[in-house]
Amino acid sequence: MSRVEIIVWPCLVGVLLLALWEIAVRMLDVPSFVLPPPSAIAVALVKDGPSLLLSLIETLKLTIAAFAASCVSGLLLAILFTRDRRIEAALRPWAVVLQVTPIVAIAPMVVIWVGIDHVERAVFVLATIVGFFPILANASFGLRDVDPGLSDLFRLYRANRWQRLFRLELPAALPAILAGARISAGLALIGTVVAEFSAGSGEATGLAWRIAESGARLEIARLFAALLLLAFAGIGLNFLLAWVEKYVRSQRHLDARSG
Amino acid sequence: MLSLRDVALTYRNGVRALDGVSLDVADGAFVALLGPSGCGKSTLLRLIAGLEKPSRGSVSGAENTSVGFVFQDPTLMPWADALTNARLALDLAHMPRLEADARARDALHAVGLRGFETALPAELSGGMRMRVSLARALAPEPRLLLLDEPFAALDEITRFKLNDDLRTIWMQRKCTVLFVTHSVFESAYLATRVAVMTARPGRIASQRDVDLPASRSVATRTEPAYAALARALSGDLEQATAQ
Repeated sequence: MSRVEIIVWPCLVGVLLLALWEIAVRMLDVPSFVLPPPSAIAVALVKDGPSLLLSLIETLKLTIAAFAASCVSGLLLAILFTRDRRIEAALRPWAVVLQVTPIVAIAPMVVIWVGIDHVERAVFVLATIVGFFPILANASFGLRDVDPGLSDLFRLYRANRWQRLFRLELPAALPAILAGARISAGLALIGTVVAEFSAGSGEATGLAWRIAESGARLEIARLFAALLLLAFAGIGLNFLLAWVEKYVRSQRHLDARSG
Repeated sequence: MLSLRDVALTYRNGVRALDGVSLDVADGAFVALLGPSGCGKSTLLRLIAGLEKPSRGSVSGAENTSVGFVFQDPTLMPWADALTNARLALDLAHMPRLEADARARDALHAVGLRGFETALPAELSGGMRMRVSLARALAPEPRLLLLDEPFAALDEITRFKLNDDLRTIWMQRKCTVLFVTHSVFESAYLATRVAVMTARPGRIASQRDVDLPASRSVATRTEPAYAALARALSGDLEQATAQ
């Protein structure tokens, strides 16, 4: 499949679905507070675009901060895990507990602990919790996935633990870490929006609040417009990290460079 | 002198890799270890390098020597260019960058890779990657060079070329070489002495000095003495595997 086709086919499907949507809503006379036609969403996007965009920027700021915190904490924990099997055995179950706990369920507690006057801090903490696990899982896999021959060479040349970490394990783990980062970035965005919803109070300024507000006012077109922006932000974030990942891979394997 | 006395190694899973290996390697010798696949040849090299501990017996003469090791695969760091790969041992020994660069560059030149310093492993052919691997082992100027079937995966033309280059390097540097191979012809062509190993658990079945002129070339490969030696070694190998 050519590069052009990769873009053309999904777009064609999108246009087709939008057309069906528009026709169906008009023909069936669906009220716009139930399901607005795409044209109404486009109008809302133009009209409310700037204010929604400001909210999106607020959300993205928190997303990026939470993503960065996820990367740092996930990577540090992964390094700790891979130093000693006992450390991992002792801590991994607790990391899993953190992962499987629904963020909505702990949101009220986190708000009380850190977010009474600063909801954004609670959102940051919650989104970080959501985002850190893929980094931890991928990085601890990558740090162990070292060429055994290279590992022997480092032993033969009496490398110390820092040399081993910085010259062997981290570079070897980089592709896995980046793959984790891509998943984590998406989760951090979702985490931020969900956390904004759950922690939501009057002073929240992120996109989630706009969505909640639109829903409450039955401005469904505006709600869809906000969702659309969110989707674009997610796609953008994903593409950015996919590009970084691809670049790193292409440095190591020529076959990826032609792909 | 490198000396192994009645060395045995049994892996934790119960596999007996080596049993009663005794071998002396004189300084400056080029000894080929010839044996069937899975006879513990690689294990023997790893023991000498200190990467494995013997279950019984002793290995002496390699403890305080600088050792270079070349594996079956190039095992290069895929994220680092040829020069950085060749510099590995020097970097790990905290050698100043300028000196390390110079020595790594010399090693790359010695293996015929002038001008490929900045090439990444992915940009090099299989033979060239093996050359980088060889340069990495040579850069710290080891007294003992251990090679584990380094050219087995290469095509014949490249293998012959690398055989000659390795001989040249050995004669220039006057280091001791222990070369593992399963090729009768390769061992006869390269070595000053060939030690034949039995099937697992591996042991030295016989040893044979190579009475060929020190300088070897394409012509050597068609000489009657070379053919006779190869035939004798084939006989040794057959006997060793039949035991």
